[in-house]
Amino acid sequence: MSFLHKKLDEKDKEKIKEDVKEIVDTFGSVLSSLSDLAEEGSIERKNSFREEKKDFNNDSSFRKKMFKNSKNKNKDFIIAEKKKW
Amino acid sequence: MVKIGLEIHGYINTHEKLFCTCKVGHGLKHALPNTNICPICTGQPGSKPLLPNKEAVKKAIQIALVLGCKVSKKMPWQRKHYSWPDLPKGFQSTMSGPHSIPNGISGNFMGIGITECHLEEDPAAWNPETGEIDYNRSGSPLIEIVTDPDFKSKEEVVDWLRNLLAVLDYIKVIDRNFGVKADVNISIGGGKRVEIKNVNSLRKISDAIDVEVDRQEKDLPKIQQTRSYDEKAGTTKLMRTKDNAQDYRFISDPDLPVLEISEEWIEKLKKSLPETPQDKLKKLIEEYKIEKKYAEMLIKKLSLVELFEKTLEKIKPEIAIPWVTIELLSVANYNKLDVDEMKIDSNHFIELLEAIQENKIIELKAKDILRKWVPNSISPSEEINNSLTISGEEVKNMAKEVILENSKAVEDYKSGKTWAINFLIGQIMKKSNKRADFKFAKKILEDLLK
Repeated sequence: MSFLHKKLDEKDKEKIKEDVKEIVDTFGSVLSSLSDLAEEGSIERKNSFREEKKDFNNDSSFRKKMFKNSKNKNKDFIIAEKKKW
Repeated sequence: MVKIGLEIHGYINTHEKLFCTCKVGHGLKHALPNTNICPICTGQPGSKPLLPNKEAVKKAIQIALVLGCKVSKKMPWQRKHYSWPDLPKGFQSTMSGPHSIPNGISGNFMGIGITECHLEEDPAAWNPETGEIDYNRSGSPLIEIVTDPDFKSKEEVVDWLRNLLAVLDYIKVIDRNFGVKADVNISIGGGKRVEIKNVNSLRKISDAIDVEVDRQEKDLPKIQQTRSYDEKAGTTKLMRTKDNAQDYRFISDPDLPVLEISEEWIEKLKKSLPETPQDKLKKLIEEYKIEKKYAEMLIKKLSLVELFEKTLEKIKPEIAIPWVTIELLSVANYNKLDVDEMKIDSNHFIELLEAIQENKIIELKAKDILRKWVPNSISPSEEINNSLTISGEEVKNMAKEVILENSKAVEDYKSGKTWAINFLIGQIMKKSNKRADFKFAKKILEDLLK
């Protein structure tokens, strides 16, 4: 089932890609021009790291859930895009 | 003039990942794919990172210190955004970027300037051919070391990297099993800088520099480029130029507190650093009077030089040197093991060498004992007691028996085939269960056969 009101052709897709890139680039360029950004969003706490332990207790049910929710998988792997970059 | 700079990535040795408690294990060699995973390292919506792993922070500081860097005391974490299948959160948490304060800055290691070194998390492993993703690696702590463009040749680069890896190995901060991965920046007089991404061995780094310098000499780069090294084709290929360079949109990470390091901790870590390979080399040559070629061989591996130094407490250097640099290493090589994997107890090794030093056993027998120390050493006392060198009189009697039993070899020797004596010596060694002194046996035979 598609939630799109309009079926996109390749030209539309290309245009959207270009628009997205432009938005992201503009945003990136504004971000890099902000000189005091290092202070923005920084939080300070009494402890800034944790001690590691050696007793691992991974929640094995998480793996099952992740694979169940994954649309594309192959044995022990989740399948993502192929050779698009 | 060629100018080369490096960005080196190394896997920091920790038990847990950087922002979650999943076990660190890089790829298929250590675990079934996608087993050391949790909502944090797979970037599930709504998941938040834990505080960073202190062990990773500690090792990043140790690296900064051995590289002669100024260690930063207050560092905000950064988000580096990019959209690749290997990055589930859509950003990497890092100490790099235009707004960052790296863990260490302005260092110098063996004559090469260190721009910075910083801690960051590793993305997942993604195979672009199959699209397969393994998140076991995702979130593991990485160190990135950025050098100034101070190298002038591939030889200089490879030599320096070897030394760097030896030092990082000495301070036990990185997982050497995963080798070295580097981005190599190259420019030649008047041209723009070209970055070659992800070159993953010393040999490939050397080859990639060769190929790229050659290419730039023929076609001087006019714009900044990022290229990849194609080993099969023996070329570098254009990935992107400055015009379409990736914009990572760095921002401070609102989920992570500013990393604060106390002066006391830095001082404590500084004091706890072991001697560097260069310190060891100097000590071996000047203090122990070891020949440079052996000293250089010994310092390549911390465990080897530590074993050697321990051995010297009871054993003369002239005995210790060949047994550490030749005999021990040849057993390791024969069994395709790293010397660390042999798990040699220094007390066992010293006991064996003491038996040689005191002429209790012959070297041939000691070699037999050493060959049995795979995968680990065992106390050699019993074997030494059963293999004590036999007396000269016993050797003489055996030599007489051997002469009587091997008339053909005796005739050969007497007729000028001098090598036949080796067969006779072999028979004595067999009779004595390798307890006869080889040189003494030879001399006795020569005397008896005159």
